[in-house]
Amino acid sequence: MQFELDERQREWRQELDEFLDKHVTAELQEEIRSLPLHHNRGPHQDAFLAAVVDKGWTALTWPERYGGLGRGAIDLLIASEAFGERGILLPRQFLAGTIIECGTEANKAEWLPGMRTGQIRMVLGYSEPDSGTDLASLRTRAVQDGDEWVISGQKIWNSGAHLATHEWLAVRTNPEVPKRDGISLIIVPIDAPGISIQEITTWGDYRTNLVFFDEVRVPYGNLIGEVNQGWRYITSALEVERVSLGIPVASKHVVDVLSEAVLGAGDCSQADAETIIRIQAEYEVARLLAYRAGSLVDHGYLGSPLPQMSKIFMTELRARVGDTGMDLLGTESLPRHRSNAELGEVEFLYRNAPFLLFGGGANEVLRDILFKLAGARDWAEV
Amino acid sequence: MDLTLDAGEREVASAARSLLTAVLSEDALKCVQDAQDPAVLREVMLGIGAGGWLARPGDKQSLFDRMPFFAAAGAALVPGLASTAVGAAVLADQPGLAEVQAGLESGSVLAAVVGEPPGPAASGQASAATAEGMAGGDVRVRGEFPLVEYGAVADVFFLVVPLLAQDGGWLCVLVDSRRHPVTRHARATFGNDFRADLSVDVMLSGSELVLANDQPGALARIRQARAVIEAIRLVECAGGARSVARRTVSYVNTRHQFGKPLSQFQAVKQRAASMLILSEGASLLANAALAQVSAGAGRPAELIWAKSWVPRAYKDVTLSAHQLHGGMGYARESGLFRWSERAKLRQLQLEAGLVRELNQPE
Repeated sequence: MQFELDERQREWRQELDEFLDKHVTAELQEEIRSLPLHHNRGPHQDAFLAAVVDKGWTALTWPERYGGLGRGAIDLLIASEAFGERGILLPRQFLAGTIIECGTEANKAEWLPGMRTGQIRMVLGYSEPDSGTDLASLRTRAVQDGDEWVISGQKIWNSGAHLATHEWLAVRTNPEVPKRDGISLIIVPIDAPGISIQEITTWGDYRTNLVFFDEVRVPYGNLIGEVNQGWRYITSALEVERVSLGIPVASKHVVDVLSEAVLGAGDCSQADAETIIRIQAEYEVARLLAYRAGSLVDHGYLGSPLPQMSKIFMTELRARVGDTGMDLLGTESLPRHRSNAELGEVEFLYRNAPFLLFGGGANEVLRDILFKLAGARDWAEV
Repeated sequence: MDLTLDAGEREVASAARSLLTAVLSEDALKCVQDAQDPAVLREVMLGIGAGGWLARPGDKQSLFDRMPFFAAAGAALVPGLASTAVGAAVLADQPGLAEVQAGLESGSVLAAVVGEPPGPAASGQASAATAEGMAGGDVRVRGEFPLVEYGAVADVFFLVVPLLAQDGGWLCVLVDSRRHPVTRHARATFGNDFRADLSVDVMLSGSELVLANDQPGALARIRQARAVIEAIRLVECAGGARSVARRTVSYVNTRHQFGKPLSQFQAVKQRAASMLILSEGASLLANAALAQVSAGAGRPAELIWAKSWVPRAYKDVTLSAHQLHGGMGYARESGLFRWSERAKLRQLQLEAGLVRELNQPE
């Protein structure tokens, strides 16, 4: 067990830092701050993305034969941290992992190059108004008509649909079989006739969408992998892609802001100081859980409960930091995000955190999966 | 960064489990963990010492090399004397104390470390005692030491006491109860760790003065010894938490109610999953702290964080275990209470002085 970066990992981190020091300019940061959440990228963001694409980092973990760099999960986590420390998410399209794992060669040739460059931007179309956590009960239908699919139904919580080029859609292709056996994955251009998008605003300030499909026609070849295998594909996405979901980069800055505000105050009570120490400790636990998940994947130990542990712990930590942070700051925390310099991040986190507790796999469902995976072997021995 | 066990660590874990199974028979466990028979306690310590697990860090293997042993020891509820012995060996690592150090490493000498140097990090423990320089270089140490861990059975006491004539001055002395009279009043306490109130009034010679505040590196040495004890205990806590979580998962998978295993009830399954998350996190943070202390850091951030979080996670795991075991875990016969008391005890011990530590200059 090694808690420090080894020489190769240090070199990787150094390469990331040198790149980010050069490309994360004051203008880029100001553009990110000034644009509304889930808005089209500005010119500085476009230039930054182009530089990241040039480095090949949008396809960091993809196999080299598909245009990726073939890096492992730990390298992905190191990159996520380096970007996150500068307030920027590593641009990635995690759905590419499913295409690589489950798609046909034709799927890979058609979609991966555009996803690598950022020209193709997918939005996830899984949930429906009546099929949320019980995803397998989804009802949006795709019927084959010659060499086309005809799709009708509606999807909800499609964050980014108004900015995306394509929907990554889970649809029912066989209503006659048990519900998990009749689902397929089909990619749909967002500008196809018959699609309409309705905005949903959220407590967390960002926009999500309700998307309607009215007899939308797409080529048969937009099917991913084989027909009626969608449920298997949804649940078997590349583990290497999943591990980075638990890295708590977004909340690290809030922890730092809180620590400075509370511990730096002359009249900090012992109880408040202990609370901050525990939050710092929990941040470190979240980070270590993510790295443990990545280490297991890189050593070929697949199917561990660590990705679930990591996601659950990180998202619940974010909620605790937002809640406890407002407790510690009192009325100082009330002015809204962006009108309250750095302290505003605390109230924003309070509002933003609930989303990830139920999104990305509700934590209750993930706990069920975790319990099952934990019984498969004694993971403490590896 | 690689947070998996390598082949060497897996070998250590296997050897540790073999040794602990041999040394801690079921009867021995009951005697030791219920503070019943000091003779059994001594046999257990000799068995652990014979395996080489009590050696001072860095001699044959680093502290972190023994990480899997400490985790297994926590799962088996090895007496706190073991971690104290390794830390005390850091203090005894000097000419004149070779016999004590050899005894600590072999498990034949049982030690207690009491008190801290005065200053912002001190928790106030042992402030009722004093040291006074006498003619001829001797030192008179006297005072009362309440509720000393393993005070009823320890052979030697490393006492850190303030110097009477020097504001802020302190000494670390070795009081060997085989040579000096130590009055002990054994106490039955939560955690069953052979506590006693001590009363000491002894005249010590130069060879029994371990460290003084005006010696170069003295404070760092005391801190290092304390950090070693704490880091080992944190890894033990994590091992205990993992053991209790694993035991609970096994129980809810096999115990049937309403015609099916308890684990088929979602509330049960989810609480057990939370126990697994806490024990995994505790293990990682405790190991990170041990790695830093093993590398020589006296008071790394990881140690402070781990002290604030790991024992609490352990405690929460044990309380959930009680809930999921129901009456079966509440009966003394199940023994679950022993882990529960150890967890709460460590939380109280390791959280003491946390904030003062944070504010103390290195």
